[in-house]
Amino acid sequence: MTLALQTVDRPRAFPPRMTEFTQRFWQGLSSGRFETTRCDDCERLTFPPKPFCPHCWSKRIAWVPLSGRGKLYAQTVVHAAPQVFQGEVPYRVGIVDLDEGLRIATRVLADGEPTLDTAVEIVVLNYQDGPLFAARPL
Amino acid sequence: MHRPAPEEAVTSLHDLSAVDLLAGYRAKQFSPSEVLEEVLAQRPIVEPLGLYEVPPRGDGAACIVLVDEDIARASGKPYVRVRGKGFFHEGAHQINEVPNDMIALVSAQKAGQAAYEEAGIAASDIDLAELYAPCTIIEVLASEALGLVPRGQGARLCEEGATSLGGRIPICTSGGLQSRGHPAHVTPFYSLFELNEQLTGRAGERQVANARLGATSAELGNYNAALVHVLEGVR
Repeated sequence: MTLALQTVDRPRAFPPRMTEFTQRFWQGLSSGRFETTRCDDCERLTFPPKPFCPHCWSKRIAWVPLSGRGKLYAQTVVHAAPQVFQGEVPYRVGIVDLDEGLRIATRVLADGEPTLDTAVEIVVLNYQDGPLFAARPL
Repeated sequence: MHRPAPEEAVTSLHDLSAVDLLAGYRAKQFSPSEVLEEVLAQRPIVEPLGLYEVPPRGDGAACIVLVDEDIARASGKPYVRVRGKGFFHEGAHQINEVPNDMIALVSAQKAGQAAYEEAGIAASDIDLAELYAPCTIIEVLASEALGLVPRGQGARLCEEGATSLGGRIPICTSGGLQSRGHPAHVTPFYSLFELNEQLTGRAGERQVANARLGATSAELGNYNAALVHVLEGVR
């Protein structure tokens, strides 16, 4: 499944650190692929992707696609932000439970306050210098 | 966040802030309704919390002297004994990637149970608690997780005064972090200091009558880890 893409005409305020390992995640994300890692031994997923399994410490991991669909567990609007995000206040953030059983924190794109448990999808925000992702109500 | 009745919880939160702020505002002699009005008038920080529902920045210091009980007894002065301690870490920081009930504060539940067990007491034996609660809602959730009030009733009991000075189980007699400030790494020590004052009968106008057993908590993340102490005053 490929995520919807949105273009944002400015650089990211706080670009995530990209490592040799996470490069695959960020490069895939920019073209709409939402991936993470799964343990070959205990078969559990983790997010963000890691070169080891946090559940059984195995280093036998494989990249797998995520649906990018989930439910909104919690949300808020931030008015007092760290300096780097000062230009973006107020902004909405939330906690999303992905259909695959992973809980993530993410920006939320919604004009009004979304109802909790509402179905959301992950979208790609392609900034001038690279991608980020966010959730929006379906 | 999932609560049984969100609107009611939010309303109670606002009232809670007023309670927390009372200690700090006492010197200015504002009435509770004036305090509440002022709390609600503050600019939003992270919804639904406003400026007075989160702790101000602050510096602080505390000094605690730990000795063998023989030495404390030989001093001839009141002292405080560590009756029990409990620690639990859920193995995640901030948001656990494995979905759980984020407002149950499981680590506080388990650390509290361990501390009570070591002390040979039940939560209902505690006379007062000084909790690590950097926002109004956290005091409610931590009080519930430590079994000081029934789950889902923390906000209501606070509003009714059960957790105020003179109530059934006074919580954060220091005024709490919103009132006294929150120098993060010092806060747990300050909580021990407050209990020391209370359990040795030196808390002045904040004194809880006949306080003998007190509990403190410290935490990291979203209470992903918790450390709970049960202290006993020896007079």
